[in-house]
Amino acid sequence: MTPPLLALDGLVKHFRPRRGLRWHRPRPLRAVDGVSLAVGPSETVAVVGESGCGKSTLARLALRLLDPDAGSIRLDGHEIAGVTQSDLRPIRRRIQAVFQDPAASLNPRLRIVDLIGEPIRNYEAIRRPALRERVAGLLGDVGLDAEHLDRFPHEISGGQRQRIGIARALALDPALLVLDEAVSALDVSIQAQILNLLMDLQDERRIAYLFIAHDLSVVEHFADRVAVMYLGRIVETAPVADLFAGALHPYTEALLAAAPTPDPARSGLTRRRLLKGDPPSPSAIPSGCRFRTRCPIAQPLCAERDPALLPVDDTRAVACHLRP
Amino acid sequence: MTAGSAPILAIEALETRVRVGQASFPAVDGVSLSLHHGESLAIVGESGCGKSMLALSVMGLLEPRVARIVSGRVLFDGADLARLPERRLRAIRGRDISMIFQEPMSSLNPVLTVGRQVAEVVRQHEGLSPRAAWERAVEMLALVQIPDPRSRAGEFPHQLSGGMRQRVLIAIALACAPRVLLADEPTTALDVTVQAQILDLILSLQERLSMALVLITHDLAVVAETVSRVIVMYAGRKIEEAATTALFARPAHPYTKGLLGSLPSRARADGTRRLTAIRGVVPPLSALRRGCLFASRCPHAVDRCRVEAPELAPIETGHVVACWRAGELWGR
Repeated sequence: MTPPLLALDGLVKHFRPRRGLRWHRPRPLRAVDGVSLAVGPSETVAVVGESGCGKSTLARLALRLLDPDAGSIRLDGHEIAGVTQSDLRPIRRRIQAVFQDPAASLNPRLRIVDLIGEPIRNYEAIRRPALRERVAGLLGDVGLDAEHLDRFPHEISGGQRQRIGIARALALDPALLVLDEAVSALDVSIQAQILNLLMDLQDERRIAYLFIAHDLSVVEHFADRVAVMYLGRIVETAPVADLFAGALHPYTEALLAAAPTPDPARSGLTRRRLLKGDPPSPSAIPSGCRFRTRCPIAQPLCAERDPALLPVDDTRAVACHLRP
Repeated sequence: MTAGSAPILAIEALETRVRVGQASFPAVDGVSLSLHHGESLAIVGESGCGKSMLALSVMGLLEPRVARIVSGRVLFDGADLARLPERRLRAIRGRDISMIFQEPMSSLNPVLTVGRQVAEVVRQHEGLSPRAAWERAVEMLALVQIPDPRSRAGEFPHQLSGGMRQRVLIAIALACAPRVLLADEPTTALDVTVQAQILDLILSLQERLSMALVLITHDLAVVAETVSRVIVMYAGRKIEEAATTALFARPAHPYTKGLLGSLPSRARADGTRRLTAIRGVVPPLSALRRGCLFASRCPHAVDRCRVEAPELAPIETGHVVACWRAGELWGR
């Protein structure tokens, strides 16, 4: 097996709320609570889960936008978890990110040539004409004309802005792109354009994606492998086809059952087993298995022991006392 | 739909214009629809297609300095809501026609208990005493399956989860047993497991209270699961209407086909990895409204499409489409 491009091992990130009122001692928010995950070269790994499950915190840890409390992050075999920002600099160009809201992640005062050129200038001494040429090439790669070079972000549409975000992330020719809900805010027809673009770029550049998402139909279409997160932990990992053919963890089952199907012939809410209640707060994670409070098959054992994520075979793993 | 019976809500050639600076643009452009007793209908389209403006026009909730109805009628019980004075509209709104909005936190008053917010509606419309209204509020919270409704009624919105807040909004909307419920993206802000619970709740209450439901959404998968009839809107106009099964099986408008082709799960069923995305973007409100408004993005557009706007015409029983080439492309 080829060594993974990105290997996360036992990552922990707890947020400690600033001291509140004197009589109120806030508990730490356990956003990421022991996560291990690997992404291979030119592989697409999706992390799915509901809001508050810690998937975006995990993305920010992988990018070292946040420092982990414990655990290791290795990129190309180099440990980057404890590394200083200056030592991180040469490594960081290998891993880039695209975020959900392109309007918020692009500086409104910069022209597109400078937005996309900024990371290049950060690493290379490059003259203006050469920079314009490089950026025009990147615009072409994401399906935009060179006429956009001197425009501002507000002058273009949301879908085009997300293309700019992608071009900017590609500017340093990274090996891995972290896509944090990168298509979630887009209308479905634009989302399809961006997904097609991302798939083409992966074919051309052999780039790997860590794809953070909540929309299962997009994940099923786009990813090679899926990790399902619930309250700071991965509860199941599997190749995408296996997961959608038959989930092992009861939470994955519930997620798949809850996702609506755009086919009136085979849909129907009545057939579904609906999960009760909302996810608990990550500041008050239940004892034992963290899913037990909503789990339809929970047993007394589940309240006592925290299940580890154990391999089922070469490709799948699940954290459940009762499965497989 | 029961043929022959009068619709409970009929919208006729409604045009709502929004003002931007000195100019005004049609956000809703000649839309007609009819809704029968107990029926469920979805209005779908992407952002900016006018679906929410249509709902706000029906409810008389347009911000008067920004948007107004310039022509057309909204007939409910023989009265034209578009011309009703505010005082009479107030008596109907929340009692006979109710609406649920997308963002439960911004639709609830943060400084009043949720019980009081439900009770307020029945006091207003049915003149109940404070005590009776509170009892009704607790009943309503139980109806929307809020556990321990009596103590929850005394809590404030921030003490409830997103799913629970949306249940409170549904309780407020249904407190007076309305005959029509407009739900504008009621589950868009919710997680998928909670979305399933809320849709399930809305549908079971619709049946139990025999309300007519208008579901406004961008999510075609939600449409397929919930309603019997669908209207597709594009750039303020209604471009297609059909029974849900017919629309998903044989969409007639190139835009509807593009929307369905953009869905990853449909592409997979056809065995393709590439999605049939629609090229380009929705035209801005200020764009010139000449011909078919989808023509610039349509793979089948011909010269006629760019100059002459197609009227809605039937293509099969109960299925209308506004496209010059629909007949020729039908089923392809």
